[in-house]
Amino acid sequence: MDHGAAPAQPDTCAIEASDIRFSWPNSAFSMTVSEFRVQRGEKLLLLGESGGGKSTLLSLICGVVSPDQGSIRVAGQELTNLSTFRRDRLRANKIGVIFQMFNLLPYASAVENILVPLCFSPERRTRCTTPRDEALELAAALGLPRNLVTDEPASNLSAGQQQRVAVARAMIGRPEIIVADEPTSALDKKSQAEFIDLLFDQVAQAGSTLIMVSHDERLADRFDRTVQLSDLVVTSGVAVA
Amino acid sequence: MTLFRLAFLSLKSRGMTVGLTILAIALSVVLFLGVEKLRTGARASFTDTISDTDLIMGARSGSVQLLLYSVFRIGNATNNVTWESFQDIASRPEVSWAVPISLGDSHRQFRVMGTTPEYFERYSYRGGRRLDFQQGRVMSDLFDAVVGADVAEQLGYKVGDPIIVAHGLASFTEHEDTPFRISGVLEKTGTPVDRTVVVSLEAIEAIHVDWQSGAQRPGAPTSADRLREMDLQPAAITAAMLGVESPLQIFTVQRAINEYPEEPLLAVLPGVALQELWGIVGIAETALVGVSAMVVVTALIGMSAMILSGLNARRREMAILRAMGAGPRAVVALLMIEAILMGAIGSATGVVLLYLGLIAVQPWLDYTYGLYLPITALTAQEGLLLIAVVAASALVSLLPAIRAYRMSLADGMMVKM
Repeated sequence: MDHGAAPAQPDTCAIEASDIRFSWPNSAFSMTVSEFRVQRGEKLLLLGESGGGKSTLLSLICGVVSPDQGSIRVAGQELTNLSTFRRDRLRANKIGVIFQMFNLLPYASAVENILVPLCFSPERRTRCTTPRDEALELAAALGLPRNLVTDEPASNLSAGQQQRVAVARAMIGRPEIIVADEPTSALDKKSQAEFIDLLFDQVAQAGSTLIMVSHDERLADRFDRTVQLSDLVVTSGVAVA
Repeated sequence: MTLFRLAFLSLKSRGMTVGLTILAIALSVVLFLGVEKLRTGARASFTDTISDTDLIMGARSGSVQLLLYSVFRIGNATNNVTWESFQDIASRPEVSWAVPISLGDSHRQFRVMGTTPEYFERYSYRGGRRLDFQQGRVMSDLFDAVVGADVAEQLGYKVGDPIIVAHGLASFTEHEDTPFRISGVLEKTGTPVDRTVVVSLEAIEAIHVDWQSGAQRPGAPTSADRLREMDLQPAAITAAMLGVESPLQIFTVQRAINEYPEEPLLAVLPGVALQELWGIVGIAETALVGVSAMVVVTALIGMSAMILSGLNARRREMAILRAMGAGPRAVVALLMIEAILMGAIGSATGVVLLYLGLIAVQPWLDYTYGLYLPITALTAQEGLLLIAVVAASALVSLLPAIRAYRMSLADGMMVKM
């Protein structure tokens, strides 16, 4: 396994983290990451079980939490220098997030869910001249029936359909980085393969960087690189998530 | 997709709870504005009861008491004004007109008022409107009576019907020997005139010719024809309405009456006496406004509690928004927008309900209480009040919003559910 130390110039990195130390407030859990780099356009698989600091690492990359020490650069920006507001704005502009399940706002339709990130990202909004049409195109490309996307509340969609809507939402406005947290674990075998195909198509079309967390080693050969979470992250104490 | 739309969709998805919360706010707004409308309506109704009368004169008592018994037929006079004193005042050069009134008798539940035909020319209400007849005309015979619209309607009277006047109020001893005849029925005015039987001053004297100290004199009653021939100039009246030549002289005349040497008299400006009345009623009004304001506050606190109790179930929603790039401030904004929306929809619903209610109860209030509530647009003050309700909605939502802020900071974008 490569230890996430691919030699590269800083500006060719989508994500570059070094010497990170982080602990949750009021918790014994702490973790360190000595070196973590993801190239622009790279498809990276992070292999690991829950509890290995996975969620914390993703939170750090997304700028939801800030490390106690160390440096994280996302899309060329040093997160640790940014205010909370700027970190939120950077996440909105640069990162599309796909969760394991329950990705969608249940009361809004799929197309409205797809449009939510534009609400927080001026940068991605400018890339969409006709947001609604682009959202519908994405949904169509992901094989979602149109009436299902526009007329039904998201809660009426099946798990597989919801995950595909989540992909469309992550991809709208073509962010540079897609972070997917075990997106296939709630799907059956057949849907899993289909989902990965669709996700890769979209990521390739947008030229985005993909970081996917999974515990399924069989997916490894589809990615450019695979990193074991346990090699990357050193934890102590009890994980919160 | 905007935060506003998100807030709207989120509210819509919780239709039942949100609907009830909005209903509570709406009803509290109806109560508050309703009390306000009723209060100003009652004041206007009172104020409208008498206009263009410069002074009211009566025996010395309290000015509110004088106003109440002479204009509103509430309570009784403690003393009378002698005819000589009235004549003396009425003949002053500053006095342009003077209409005496004599109260004390009743017909069924309605009061009987003796006065001069000039009353129908001088009495005006609601900013200068005069009394109109729906049937008949002013009394011309000694035993003619003019009845108000409510009297005619409730007792089924029309022109030509006989009526019997009772001595004193709520009295059983009726003046059966001197039956009156209705010569005219007045149009509805929304004032106490509607509930009054008007006869001439002389008629009041006539029905008391055979009475002494409240009891009928023994012997045959005086015949109607003989009464018509008698000199029935009254010895005393209850009160009088006065008009003054120039507004500048009102106070001169008032002082002259108040300092009248022959007997203790009192003259009041109707407007001033009304102000004094509001001073007394004001405390009750303030209490009423206070209570209805508390109801609004209660509804808003209810809304705050409703948002707060829903927060735990919405952690996932907040986490999703955080992952999409929403800052904790956006989470706060979302909750505040929801509260403002509920406050605004509640207020708007309240205004609609208020006007529907006003339209529904207006005729009944007018008929039953003589309280005419004009259906007018919201005043600037009431508009401000609605804005205050919406602003207060935002304010009370701060508590759940700050809690959500803390929760979303702690949860980040990862919530296990």
